[in-house]
Amino acid sequence: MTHLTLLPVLDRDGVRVTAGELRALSDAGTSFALDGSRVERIGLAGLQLLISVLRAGAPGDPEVQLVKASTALRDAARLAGVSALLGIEAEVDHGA
Amino acid sequence: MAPEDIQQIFLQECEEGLASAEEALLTIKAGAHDQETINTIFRAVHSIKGGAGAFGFLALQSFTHHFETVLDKARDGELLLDAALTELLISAFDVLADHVAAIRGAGDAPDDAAMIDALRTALTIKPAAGAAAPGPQAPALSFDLGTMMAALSQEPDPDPSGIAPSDATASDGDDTSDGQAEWEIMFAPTGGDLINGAEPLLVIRELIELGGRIVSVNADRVPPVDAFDPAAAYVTWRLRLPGTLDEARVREPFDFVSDPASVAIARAPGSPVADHVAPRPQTDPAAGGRPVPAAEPLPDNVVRLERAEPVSRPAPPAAAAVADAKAKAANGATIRVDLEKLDRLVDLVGELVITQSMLSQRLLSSGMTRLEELTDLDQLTRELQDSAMAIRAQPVRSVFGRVPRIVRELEASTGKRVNLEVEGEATELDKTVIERIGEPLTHLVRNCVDHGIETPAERIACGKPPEGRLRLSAEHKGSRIVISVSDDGRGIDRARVLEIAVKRGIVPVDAKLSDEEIDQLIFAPGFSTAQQVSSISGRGVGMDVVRQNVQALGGRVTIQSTLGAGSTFALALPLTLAIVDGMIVSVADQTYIIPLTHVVESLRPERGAVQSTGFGNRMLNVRGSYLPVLGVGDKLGVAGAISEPAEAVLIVVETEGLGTAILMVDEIIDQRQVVIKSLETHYQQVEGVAGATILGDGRVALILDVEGIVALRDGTMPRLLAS
Repeated sequence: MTHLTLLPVLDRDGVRVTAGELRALSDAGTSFALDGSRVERIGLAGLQLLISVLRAGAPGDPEVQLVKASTALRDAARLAGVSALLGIEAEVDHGA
Repeated sequence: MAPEDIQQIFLQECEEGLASAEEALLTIKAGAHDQETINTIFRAVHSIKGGAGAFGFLALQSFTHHFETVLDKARDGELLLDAALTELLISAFDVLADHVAAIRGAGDAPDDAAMIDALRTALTIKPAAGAAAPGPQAPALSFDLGTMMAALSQEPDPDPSGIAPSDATASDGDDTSDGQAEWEIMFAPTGGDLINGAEPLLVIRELIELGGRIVSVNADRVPPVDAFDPAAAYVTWRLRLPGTLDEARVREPFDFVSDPASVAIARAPGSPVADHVAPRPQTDPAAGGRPVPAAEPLPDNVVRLERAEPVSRPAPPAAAAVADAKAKAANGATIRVDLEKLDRLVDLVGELVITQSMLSQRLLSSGMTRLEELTDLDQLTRELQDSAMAIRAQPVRSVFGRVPRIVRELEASTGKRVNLEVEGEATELDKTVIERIGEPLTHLVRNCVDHGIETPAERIACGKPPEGRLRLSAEHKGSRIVISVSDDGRGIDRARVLEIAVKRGIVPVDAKLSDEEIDQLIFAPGFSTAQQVSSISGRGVGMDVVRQNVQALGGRVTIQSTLGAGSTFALALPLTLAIVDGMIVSVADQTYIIPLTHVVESLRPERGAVQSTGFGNRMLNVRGSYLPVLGVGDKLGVAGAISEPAEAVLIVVETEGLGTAILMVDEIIDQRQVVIKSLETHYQQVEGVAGATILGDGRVALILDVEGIVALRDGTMPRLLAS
């Protein structure tokens, strides 16, 4: 499975860059894992992107997982009330 | 209005906010505050935070958030506003001022990490006695909007129990334990919030800090990644806040959201209903105005906030001020003008004055002495000149505003206590003068606190209150503005000043100097090091710089000092650098201008009244005072000047540092305003000459530097002083 390490700063520019990468992976039909262990800054735009890419697709679509989440990412998700949508609470390691 | 103009307004608002906040902080420090005082600071910081978010100044936004949080707790009585917290707030204010200065380009952004830590720590310290228990806390800043801002790399709070529950665990009940229905909020941020820095998560966090909780999150409209727009907001929230909060507090976190219609606030079921909220399509400016998914339809009992809807509370200060500024601009009440254009206007007006003068003189010499239009033209020209000068006038507040901080820093570094009094901040003078007096004023203030005011122990020992007094004032006096810096410290020890001056060879051993002359010695470069001066009277740090800068502005410095009681330094400055009221005199075939600010009177002595004292020096007894008579022609090397005083005109002049003297000229020609031209710019600096002007007949006349001319009477000490 392909691993994509998320940028430390997922601000609007970071989200734009990451969205392009995720689109490319998605278009390639490749299953991949997102490593969120290095995320230091993330806001709503970044959380929305993760929700977008992690949302279960149609059967047969490539699998996407968030395998690690930094403290910043976890706290942002919990603050926004979207931890469950990202599967952070139950499934993801705390990461570095 | 262009974005940069609006940003400029924001910076102006920042300055005004900082000024009011600083004043309020000093009031608190003085123990004379009330609830409104802390509210004033909160509003200022809150407004700056909002503007910072709107313009994307993330570091500033982050810092103000922390600052504001502490202020909020203080105003609610949850933090005891004691001396320690007051000092913290003042220190935080200084960091905030540095942030704003950095945005203005006046320095680097401060390293605020330590201050943010201190502010965080303050939130955990003793609550005020009897204060209400704090409400639920946001996740202890482990997720700080720092996630969106520069300062965030903090370790998580080990006990994030206050974190808002996710939609899976949130309660949906109505907490009416206080007898008031909870507030229900629907928040559907727009893409505009993401663009302008009003990060929605910051809003959510503020709501949680107010005791709120997330009831549900709707992320249904987040599209698949191939349709994902990074500039759009898709997620919406439904939250509940304690019913005990007043409406203004509930609305406060939304002050700076891009679209007021993205927020709906109402009492939970059972509360009065003002309006219904219909599902609305969002138009996202970042998405080129195309519709983005609509927010979750709001319940029927939720009030919708429309832009035009009158809200029960006033607009936030910054927003209101910006709106006011915009309105003024739209109405033509104010415009912003490039400074270069303004300087060009002033230059042109100066040229016009000269041309008018030349025209006037030519017509008069042609016998056209009764031209009414000439009188009108003269009056109009003067009014035009005054108006142009007034455009450049600014209140001295901008310079005085930096003094409180300097004093605070000196208090911290010296252990002294200083009560700063400021008066006349609204006094106006030319922008260039304003810009150039900052450094000398800073030197004077430092000097007064560092060396003039004693330590608390010393003051108590000599019967003074432990807190020293430093007074800063500005006032108009004739065509000058006088800025005074006074202290009630130890004063100048003249015996020791003279002793050191002799030791350093600045004055001869047998010099007989008046008190004024001794005081002036502290402006000599030899007295400009702290060690030398602090070991004597405590005066002199950079004092030569003070004198040089003030003289370069055409100003003068005077000192009044009483040993053990304190000192007053007075800077007499011209209102403008462009024009001077002058007496036009002739010496041989030369024409000179003597600035009227120096002129006391003119005399024509009887033959023999002026007496020689040897070595070419002459004196005249003027009503009991013997004054030196100085021939301007002699001092400037003009051949053919009248040498017999009885045939010449004697002009009594006052100087700041060298007392009263008499300048001897051949004749007084006229008295008028002249436009000052820099001699250094067009030629070079000349001793005894302050500048030049163009007369009505087109000739160039030199403007005399009276202080310099009088200093030329003696070859030793005055020269050193003048240096």
